[in-house]
Formats: sequence, C-alpha cells, structure tokens
Amino acid sequence: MLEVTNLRKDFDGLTAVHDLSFNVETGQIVGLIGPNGAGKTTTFAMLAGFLTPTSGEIRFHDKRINGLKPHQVCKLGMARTFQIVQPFPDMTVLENTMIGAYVRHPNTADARRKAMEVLERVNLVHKADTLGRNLTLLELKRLEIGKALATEPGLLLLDEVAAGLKDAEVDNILVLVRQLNEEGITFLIVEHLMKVIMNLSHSVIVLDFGQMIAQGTPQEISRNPAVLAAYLGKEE
Amino acid sequence: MKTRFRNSFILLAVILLAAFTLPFFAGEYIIHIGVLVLFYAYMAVAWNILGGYAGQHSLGHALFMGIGAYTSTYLFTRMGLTPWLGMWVGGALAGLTGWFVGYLCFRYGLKGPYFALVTIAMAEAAVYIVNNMSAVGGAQGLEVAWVGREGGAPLLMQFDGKGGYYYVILVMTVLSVWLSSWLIKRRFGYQLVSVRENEDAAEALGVDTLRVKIQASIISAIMTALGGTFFAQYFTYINPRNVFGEGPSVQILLFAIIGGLGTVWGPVVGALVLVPVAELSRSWLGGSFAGAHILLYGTVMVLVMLFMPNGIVGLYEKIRAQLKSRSSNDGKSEAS
Repeated sequence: MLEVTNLRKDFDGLTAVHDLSFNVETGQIVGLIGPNGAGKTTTFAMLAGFLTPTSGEIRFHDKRINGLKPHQVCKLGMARTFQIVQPFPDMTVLENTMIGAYVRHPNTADARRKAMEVLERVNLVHKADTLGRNLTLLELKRLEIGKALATEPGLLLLDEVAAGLKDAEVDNILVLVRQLNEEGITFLIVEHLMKVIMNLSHSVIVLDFGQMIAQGTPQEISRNPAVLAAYLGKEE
Repeated sequence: MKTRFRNSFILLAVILLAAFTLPFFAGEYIIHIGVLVLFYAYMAVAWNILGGYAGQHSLGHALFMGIGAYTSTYLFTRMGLTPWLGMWVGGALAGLTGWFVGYLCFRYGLKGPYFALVTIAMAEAAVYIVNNMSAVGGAQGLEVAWVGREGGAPLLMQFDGKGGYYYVILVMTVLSVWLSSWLIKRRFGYQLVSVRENEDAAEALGVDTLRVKIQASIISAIMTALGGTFFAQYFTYINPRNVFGEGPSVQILLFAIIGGLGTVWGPVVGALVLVPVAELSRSWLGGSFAGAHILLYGTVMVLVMLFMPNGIVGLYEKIRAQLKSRSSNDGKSEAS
C-alpha cells in the first residue's frame, strides 16, 4: 500500500532523515519508534505532504506522491493526526468532523450524516454540539482520530495519539485502533509509549539519527541489540 | 427550538418591513442616514467573507471599492455606458485583482499582519497610480454628470431624491446578507472557517486552503466593487483618496469588527449602531463643539471593544448560550 524508497530530508545541512526505505502492507498496523529527534515526525510530515523530501520516493497505491500537497494526499486516502491536537476551537465537534467528511461528501446533509456516524465510532455523539475549545484531552484525542476517520482513509497515520493520556484512557484508544484495524484501516503509528507499540503493531520500524536501525515484529525488536543500544546507551 | 425559529423569522420580517417602508414616512435626512447605514453594512458584509469567515484581515479593501467606482464612472462619463452595466465590468476587474492579490499573498503563505500590510500597500499604490492617471482625472477625480432629467434617470442609476438610492442599496444589502448566510451553511463556508481556525488541520483534512482563500478573495472583491459603483452614483464625485484611501478601508472593517467578526449579522448590526452615532453626533455636536463628535464616536468604539471583544453579535450569542445552559441545568435539578 505504502512504499518508501531511499527517503531523505535535509534541513540546512542537517540530515533529519537519511536513506529510509520501508513498506506498509494493507491491513497492517506498523509502528515507527525511536529516541527523540530520530526523525519520526519529519517522516510523517513528508508522507502526509507537509514537507517535501530532499530525495527519494514515496508511493501510495502505486502512485508517486512526493511533492503533492496535504489535501491531495488526503483525497488519495491517507489521513494523519497531529502530535499536538489541532481542533477547530470555535467550531462544534460535529462541524470539526464535517470538515473531514466533506472530502467524500460535498453535500452538507451527507457530510453531516457521515460525521455523526464517525462520532458514534469514536464515542463523541453526546458532545456533537460542544465547541472544540471545551473538550478534555481524551476527547480531543478522540476528535483528532474522528476528524481523520471522516475523510474515509485507507491508511491512517497516528502521531503520538496516546501522549499525555492516563493509563485507562490509553487502553481506551488502543481498543478503538484495534477495532478500526479489524474493519480494514491500515495504520502507521508513531509512539513513545512502548505499551501501545507492543500491543498493537504487527511490525515495528526503529529509527535513530534519521536512519532505520531495525525492522521486525515487536518481539524481535525488543531483543535487538542495536535497538537496545539506541535506547539504553543514551539518557532515554 | 421551533418557537425560537418562528420568533427570529417574525423579527426578520418586521425589520424588512420597516426597512422597505422607511422612505414613506421619513425625511430626506433620515433616508440619507439609512443609505449610509445600508452602504456600510453592505461593504462590511462583503469584507466579512474574506476577513471574517476566512480570517484573512484585509486592510486595503478600498482597492476594490475604488476599482468599482472608477470603472463604472469612467465608462459612464466617457462612453455613456449605464452604471447598471458598468458596475459588472468593475466587478470583473476587481475579481481579477482579488484573484491576483489572493494568489500573490496566499501562494507564498502570507498570513495575519503580513497579509494586512500587503493589502494596505496595494490600496495605497492604487491611490498614487490613479493620482497620476490623467485619463481618469488624476488627483481631481471624476464627477458623475447629472443627466438632469425631471424625476432622475433610473436607467442610469440616478434618482430624484434619496429614496431611489435607498432602495438600490437596500436590495444590494439584502442580497449580500442572503448570499453570505447561504455560503456559510455550505461546504465552502465551513471550509473557510476551518482555514481561519486552523490552517494546517484544514489542509490535513483535505481542504484546498489556497483555493478557498483565493475564492473568498474574489467573491469579496467583486461585491466590494459593486458597492464602489453605488458610492460613486450616490455621492456623484470620486477622487483617489476617498475611494482608494485608508479612510474607506478602515471604515469598512470597523463595522464588521464592532458588529461581530465572522457572523452573518455582525456587519449589519455594526453599521446599524455606529453609522447613526457618527452622523447624529456630528449634526448635534459638530456646530457648537467642534471635534466633540469624533470624541464621542471614539469613546463608543473603545467601550464596545473593551466590553464586547467578540462584537455585539458575539456578546448576544454568549448571553444566549449562557441562558440556554442555565435553563437546561434547571431542568436537570427539577428532574432529580
């Protein structure tokens, strides 16, 4: 579904991502981990069209997508959430979600119906008329997923969707992601919480200093010496 | 819910009835104030589509007003084309200019104060360009020749007395409010608001933010230019400063801000409150205490900004939301 080949991103002489290649197969949940500054968020930004790669190629459904704008990538069926939640603060939860739904449903009545369906999925129907600015963090995280879901993506990129949540709330999100995956959505997730990665991922990619240092199942990764060195050899 | 809908419908009908019958019982001076209220309401509604809905605060909207005023007046005085047609030529030119300004700014990611500065610069540049264009009268401006027929010349947008102008601008204002309220309930309107609220998030959710901002700029520019033609016909004289200058640029957006940015009725309410304050205070105080009317006008404006940061309509909606949540809380306590 997603093929990344020799991806590279330089910022003024600093190489944030270097020679990164990996694939995401349909139906999988792939985890992307690494210490702070390893290039995870930069990679995400390139996949979703927010940054243009310096070199390399990103193919989605066999179509080259580097250089496309975020809204074009979204229309092709790849949606993302943001590490720091990005609600539309003065719009209601329903309206927030409708913005995503409009991608496939130009008519307002259809978009509203689709958005309500999604709100049911992410458990926010009772908040439909609440303004984005008045939500709790857990609700905002759910809204973040809901907005992206409303665009009806085949591949959903989640950027630290569990960060800042309490334990029970994290479980809450885990259940949701697993359900959505069973319904056919493919996931690529960046996450600091090992619990999330180990629980969800079919396959894990480990980045360090912008390079991939390991790839495998969660079990393989947790025993990989290079990964242990990257994490334990530093203050992290 | 139903009664509220019915109430606002009745309120709207009463306001429309009052607005349409005003010339039958009011004197020329009151009708003149009515024309000013409606003109500024119309201009603020037009500005609000780009500045309020999409949150792109143009401080140079006089650019479009001037293009409208000068185009139709030039075509009328030099070629005899009726302003009823000339206004659309002006609208088309302004639309093109709106596209150009929008493309130039938004393509390169100009936002907030940077966008505002470019719009000021564009309007100010237009003042100097037109000042030096002898074909349109240079700094002396253009006079709209009165055709001088008994009863005016409605086909040339010239009326005997102020009533005719009043109805022209009333219809324009009603149509603009209708357009504005129609837009905001559709995908385009929601997308504009999403751009204002969080541009990155909007883009990530499939909103072509560049395109909708440019579209808003074009629509707003065309509407503003049509208003410019009306201004020229009503005051029968234009010069670079009074149609392209910073005066009209600032006035237009003041009404939208005071009334309630990004709301359908805010621009209308703003003009309805501020224009009479300005006009009446000038006629009452202007003679005996020179300058006092500006002081009063300024004071009203500062008070509104201090106590109603979201404008008059914003305050009204806040109060209504509070009353609503209080009454629903009452309902809960009774139930338990």
